[in-house]
Amino acid sequence: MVSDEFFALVNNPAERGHIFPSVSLRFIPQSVATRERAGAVALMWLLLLVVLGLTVLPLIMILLSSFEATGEGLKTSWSLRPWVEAWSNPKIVAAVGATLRIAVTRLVIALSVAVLISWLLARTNIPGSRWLEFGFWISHFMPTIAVVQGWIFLLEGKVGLVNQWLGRLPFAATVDLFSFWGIVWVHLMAQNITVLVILLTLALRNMDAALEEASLLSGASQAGTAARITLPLMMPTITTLGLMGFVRALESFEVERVLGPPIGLDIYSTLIVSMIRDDPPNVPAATALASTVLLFMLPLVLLQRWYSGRHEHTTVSGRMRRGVIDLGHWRWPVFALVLVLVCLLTVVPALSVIAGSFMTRWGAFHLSHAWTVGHWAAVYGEFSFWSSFRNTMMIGLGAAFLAVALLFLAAYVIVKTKFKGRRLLDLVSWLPWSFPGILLGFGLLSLVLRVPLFRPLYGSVALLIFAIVAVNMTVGTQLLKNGLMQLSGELEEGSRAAGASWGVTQLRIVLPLLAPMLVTVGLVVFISAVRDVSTVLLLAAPGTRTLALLSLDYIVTGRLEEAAVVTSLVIALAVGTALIARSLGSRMGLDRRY
Amino acid sequence: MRILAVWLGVVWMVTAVLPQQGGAQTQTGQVEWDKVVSAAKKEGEVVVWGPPGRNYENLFVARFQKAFPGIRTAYFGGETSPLGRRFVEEWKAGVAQVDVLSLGSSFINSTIKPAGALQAIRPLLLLAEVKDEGKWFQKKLWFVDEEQQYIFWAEGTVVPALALAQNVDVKEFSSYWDLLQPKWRGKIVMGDPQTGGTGAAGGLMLFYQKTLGADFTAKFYRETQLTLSRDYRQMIDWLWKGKFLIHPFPSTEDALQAVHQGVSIRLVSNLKEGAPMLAGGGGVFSVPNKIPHPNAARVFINWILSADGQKAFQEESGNVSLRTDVGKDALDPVTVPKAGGNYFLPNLYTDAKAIKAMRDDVAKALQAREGK
Repeated sequence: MVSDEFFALVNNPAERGHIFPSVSLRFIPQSVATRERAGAVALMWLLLLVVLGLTVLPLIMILLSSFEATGEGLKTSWSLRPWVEAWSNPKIVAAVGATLRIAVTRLVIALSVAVLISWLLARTNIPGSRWLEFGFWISHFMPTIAVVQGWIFLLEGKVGLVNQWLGRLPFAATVDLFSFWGIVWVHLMAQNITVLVILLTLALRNMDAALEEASLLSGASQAGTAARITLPLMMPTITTLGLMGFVRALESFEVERVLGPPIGLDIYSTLIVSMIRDDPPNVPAATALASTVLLFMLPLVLLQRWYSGRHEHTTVSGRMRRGVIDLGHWRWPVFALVLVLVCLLTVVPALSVIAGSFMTRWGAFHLSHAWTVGHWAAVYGEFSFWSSFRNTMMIGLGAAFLAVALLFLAAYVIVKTKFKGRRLLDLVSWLPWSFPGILLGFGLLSLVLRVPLFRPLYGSVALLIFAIVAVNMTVGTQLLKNGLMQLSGELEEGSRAAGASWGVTQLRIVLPLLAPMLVTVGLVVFISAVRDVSTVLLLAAPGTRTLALLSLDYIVTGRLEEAAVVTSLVIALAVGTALIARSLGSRMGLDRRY
Repeated sequence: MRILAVWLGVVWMVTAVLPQQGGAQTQTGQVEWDKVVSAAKKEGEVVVWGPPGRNYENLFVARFQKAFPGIRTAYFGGETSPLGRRFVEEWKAGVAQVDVLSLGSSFINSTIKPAGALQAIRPLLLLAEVKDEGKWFQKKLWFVDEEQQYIFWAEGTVVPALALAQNVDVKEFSSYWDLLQPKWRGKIVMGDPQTGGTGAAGGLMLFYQKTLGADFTAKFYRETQLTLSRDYRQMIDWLWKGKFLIHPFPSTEDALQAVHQGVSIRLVSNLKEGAPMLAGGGGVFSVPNKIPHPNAARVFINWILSADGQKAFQEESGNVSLRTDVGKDALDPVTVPKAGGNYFLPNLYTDAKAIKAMRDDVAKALQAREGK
């Protein structure tokens, strides 16, 4: 029996460095170990099957669809025609070029800014670092449409507010949002920097300061230490995030859909979405085009795995300490700069959405009756609002709990075991990331309709929960993998040596240490369920529609102001959830200093 | 004298019977209708897929349930493309859960009907007032499919020919050819004819209208530096913000909403060559050939095409019914076809071949523009 004092010691950062001798699992009785191992292997196979079901099966349906030519009577035959149609599209070459230019530009800028900011937040004594970090979380919850509308308010031609002020200046320089750099700017303000800052900060907070301190003691400057010690230590995480960002950039389309047409700019993903939304749609050609991303993604994932495999990840060990670098008199100027960025990321879209929800027509300040509460009354009076709210909560909470459990196990198997299928598990966890959500939804729809075994799921809340888990599998698994890789094996080995079972060790050692990551993954999944439109669009039934789909209904019927009401509520819901999670996280150890 | 008596007898029979055939329900018809309604109430539900929005939800759910207590409507609203795609996938998998489709006619005509997934609507029509051709626009029942059986067209809302920025004089335009003037170059934005919506309706009109046609479209798409967009609300916003000056074939609903909100744009309802008179989702009906509630579907289709149903349709959607016995006074005059007006009926060109020819023409002109 392991005493509570033991676990208290493990979870006490001040003591942890002194309690673990170098021990291994061979001290566990052989019979117990064999029984545990057999059960664990069975569980791992089951896990692999579930993950394959959520990722590979929809992918197979998508790939099959890309070779289906539909003839008379919707009879399908196998053909390369969709691929030929997709790649003979006259816009494709220009679109691929524009996609790569935008993706690389936004990634380089976002990564550079995010590395710097996350380092400031996690490793320095910048004032209010936890609140600034929370600000980035708030930014993460802002729907892209709110960000786009917010910046259109400010920077659209002569009517943008900022442009009007700039126009009054003597040099009269205005900024046009409908341009290449305008698109890059909105991407940066939408999700790019935010996501990277959140994930990098989490990783940096878990990094041992011993090497940095050694560098400083050896006479290196703080900048030199950051560049030559911190950065190389973080490179596996940075490359993972860079790859995720790049793949994601290939499939995001919301910004270009609004800002692209006036400058004749199409990108790869807007072509895919156009093919799907055309009337009639050309889904086979769209799936063919989307499948091509796999050809790019697979070598990149393998490269990233090879790179990560060559580098030591462990940054949280039994002897780990985290140091804080003193910024000296730069503390407050740096704080001001980061605060400005947080405000740009959060205040602009939030104010835009809230103002939009109270305006007769979003952005039309010049109207004689510019303000109204009518849109709020209309939305609240609608029955479908309340049923959508209930569905959203049900799907969000269900998906969050399922994802945390499933993805923790997946990450654990990948990082901590010698299971034969772990590399396959790792590889397939990337698949959902490489497809536009609407195609993943299409894959799941085809799966449940065409495979009788899955037919009972059709139209159910469970299907939406699975879809949300699937679409978040990449980011969730990668987050938890990074968290687990940073935990030294000696922590678990110590617990096992002291007689604790695997389950007790996970419950009392690993999960508390991983609590910040688990809460983060749960939150990311919940928010995704609240915001996601494209993945669930084809899967929701009349009784399972979410708030995001209700908002989409308003948008497609031209009622942006009512969509803004729903979006304002979504933001409030997300921020409330984040505050609760933050508070829970603090109790569970989110704020624990190692 | 005998001949006169026979003649009077015939006249009496004709005058006595004809109005019953055309207007009121015959006794036999009434019995059959009552039977169907009773069977529909036993089924208890009708599943309808149509456009998004609370107005259509009110129409198909609240108004129908009020007319037929005991038959519940399970309504699923959404854009034509995803809903249609979903129907296709269900149909391929042998799942039959939709009774009535009210989606855009081009998707139905080009994808669902050729699959043999629809049943003829004429045999489903029981109410005499629905079958009475005299009650409908140009005294005929309107179908938009080649066989005149499967896709019932009940709506004819006028799409304004042009929406203009406030500083553009409407007198500048009497014909679509006026759009080709060099001073409008780079100032025109239009809905993409390669998707659905009023952009496609306009694209069909420009291509098929005799006085316009390929001669016009070659110049229009190539020389005007036209911008194509899929966001109809944004195109209206671009007019009052001054980004563009002319928006041919705006979404009627978006344009009127902006006008009612006080936004400064001008609408040109018609030009010499005409304006489209269109039915969107909500105004077009088809019935799949495998349905879970055949009687309820029959009751629904008869109700929505009746004078009561079409009155409810006009009140909830603000769009124009093709029934001539339903008053149009409460509607916005811009949307109502004028007597003697020149209107193009794009729904009649929504079979796959007609649409493809138009889209190929657009694509060819745009490619030529890119190649310049």
